[in-house]
Amino acid sequence: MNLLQILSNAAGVPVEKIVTWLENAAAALPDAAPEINTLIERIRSPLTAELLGNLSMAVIAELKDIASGHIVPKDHPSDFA
Amino acid sequence: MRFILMLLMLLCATATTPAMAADEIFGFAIGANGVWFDDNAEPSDFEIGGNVKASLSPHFSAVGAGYYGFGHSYLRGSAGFRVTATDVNDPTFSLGLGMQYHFSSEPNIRPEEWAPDASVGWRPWTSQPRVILVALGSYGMDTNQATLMAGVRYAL
Repeated sequence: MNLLQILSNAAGVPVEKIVTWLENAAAALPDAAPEINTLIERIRSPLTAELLGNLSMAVIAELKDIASGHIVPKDHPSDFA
Repeated sequence: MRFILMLLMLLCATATTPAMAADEIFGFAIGANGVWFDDNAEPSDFEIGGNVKASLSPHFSAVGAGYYGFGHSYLRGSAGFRVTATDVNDPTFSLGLGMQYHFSSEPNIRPEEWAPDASVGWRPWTSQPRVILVALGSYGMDTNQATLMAGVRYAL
C-alpha cells in the first residue's frame, strides 16, 4: 500500500490515470520535470508495516508531549491541503 | 469585488515581508481548488477560500479550512487532525493522513460527515516558499462518497 493507492481509492480514480496525469505534467513542464518525477516516486513508495508502526509510535509519544503542554511545531506543506 | 481587493492587499502585504518563518505553531493560507465528487472527469466545482493549521508536534497538526464553491454556490468547512507520514524535516514535500469533520451550507451537495483523508503538499519553487501545491482525497463515513481536491495555496 502506498499513498498513490490511498489517493486512488479515496477519489475513485485509477492509479494509472493519476500517474499518467503527473507524467503528462512533467512532459508539459520540462523545468519542473525532475521535481514532478520525484513526487511520483515518493507517492509510489510503499507505506510498509514497519514505517506505519514507527509512525504510530512517534505519534503516540508526541501526543503524550502535547498533553503535558510540550508543543514542538513543524512546518508541513500538506497541513494546508 | 471587495473580496478580490482584500486578497490583493493581503498578497501585497506578504510580498513585502521577509521570507516566511518556518516551524511556527499557527499558519494561515488562502487558496483555490478544483474538486471532484460526482464521478466525472471534469471538476465538479471550483472553490476559493482559506486554510488554518496548528502544528502541535513534529508529526501531528490540527487543521481546518473554509471554502466557497462557485458552481454550486455552497460554503463548506472542515476541522480535524492530520499526521505527517514523511520526513518531518523536509520543508518542501510532505504526505499526511488524517480525519476531518466536514460541514456545509448545502449538505445535499457537500455532505456533513466525518471523512478520513490522505493529502500531499509540495513547495515546488524554492524562490517562492509561500506557494504550495496540494492534493487531498477523502472518503465520507456516512455517504461513502469519495472526494478529490487539487489546488494551490499561498501561505500568509
